[in-house]
Amino acid sequence: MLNWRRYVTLGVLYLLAFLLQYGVLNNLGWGVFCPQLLIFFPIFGGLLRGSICGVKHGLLCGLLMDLVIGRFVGLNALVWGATGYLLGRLTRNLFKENYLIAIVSVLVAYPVSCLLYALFIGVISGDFFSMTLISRIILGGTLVNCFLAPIIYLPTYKSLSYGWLKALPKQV
Amino acid sequence: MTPRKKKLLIGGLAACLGLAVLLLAGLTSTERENISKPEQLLREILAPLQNGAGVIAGNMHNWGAYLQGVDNIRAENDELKKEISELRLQLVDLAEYQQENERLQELLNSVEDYKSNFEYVTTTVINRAQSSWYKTIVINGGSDDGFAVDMPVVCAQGLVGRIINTSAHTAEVLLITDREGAVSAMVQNSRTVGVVEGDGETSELSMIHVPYDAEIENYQQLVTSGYGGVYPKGLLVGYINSIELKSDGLLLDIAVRSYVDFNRLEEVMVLKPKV
Repeated sequence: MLNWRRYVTLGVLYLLAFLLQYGVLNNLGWGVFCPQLLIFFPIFGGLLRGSICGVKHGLLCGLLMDLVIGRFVGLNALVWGATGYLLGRLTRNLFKENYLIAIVSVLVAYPVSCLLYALFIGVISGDFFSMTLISRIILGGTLVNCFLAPIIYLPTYKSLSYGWLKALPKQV
Repeated sequence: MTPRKKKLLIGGLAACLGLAVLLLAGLTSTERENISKPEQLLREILAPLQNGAGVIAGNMHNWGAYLQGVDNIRAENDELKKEISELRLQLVDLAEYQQENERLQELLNSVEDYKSNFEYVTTTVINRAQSSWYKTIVINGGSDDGFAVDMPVVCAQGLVGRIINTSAHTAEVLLITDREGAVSAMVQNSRTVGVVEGDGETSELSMIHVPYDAEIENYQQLVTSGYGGVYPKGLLVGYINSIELKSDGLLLDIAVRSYVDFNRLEEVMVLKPKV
């Protein structure tokens, strides 16, 4: 029962983040300062639940994003999956009950994912993005997402620990 | 299975998956005539929401202006801007017709006139950008409204871009400011042809492939040349903002500015070929 509630909650959160991102936020004309709500799933998934969870969320969120953008389909899924995995591996032994870890995770994961995305596009299409554009996107996105990170992290952490997102222990 | 073999197997599978994804990304890197069913479904789901969000954002903007007591000034300003745009378009049209008359008197009947070959379908912008990496907008109206890939999109201030894919009720427009949105254009007075392209970062444009001895000056208007088959001849692209000689001494570095405010596009017109 507990796991069903978790899946439904996750589904609702996904839907809300997706609709808010592509229905509202992207339409406000904030350019590079537009928050990336979906990226918090693989980042916090990897951070709080481990690398496998980070990969799963990364693949799903990235694929959703790819389908909306309609270009280089699968690339965001690959990049975000890899980001979630790496973050999960690197933060295995870190103390998670701290706002700072959320900010640092976003501070590292977002630029890495942007760089990987730009690099792969350059390799695939043979036409590389300019460093000015890449740095603008990284700086703008990192700033906004780092600001949002602690705001989203606290309820996520609480919910994962003893709320609706808490997983049912595996039965032996 | 030993843990080592298991790890190898997982690693191999992950590598295969990665390669498959890169292959898929490569296949979808270029423009596609038809987008997949899941993509169409997502766009159809998002379209009404984006439309609503646009209206709300517009209303909030207006409400703020009202509170500041500048609504009347804004309305007047908008009216004047509209009038200027219309006059500017008329000027471009007149100059274009004058040039055509002077140079092509004997061929007047066969001159391509985009206005008689296209019908203008006015529509609204429902989303400005799906991603920071690309300069695109989503417009209200898709294949059900007769919109198709490569149809030019304009607004009162000039050329906006072209449609790159459609779903039933939405269409995605690649702006000329995108790094892949290059346009073949010419200087209206001297008929010097070049390529106008964006840098993908800002709304600035530049004209390339123009020889050093081209007879051009600042503030001359640029119109589409009609080459390439996507854009009809004579659509206003912008004006020359500055001219510099490139370091190689053979070509000019021309900064072009569009009259279109790409960050505030609300209504656009799709040029639909008349059947």
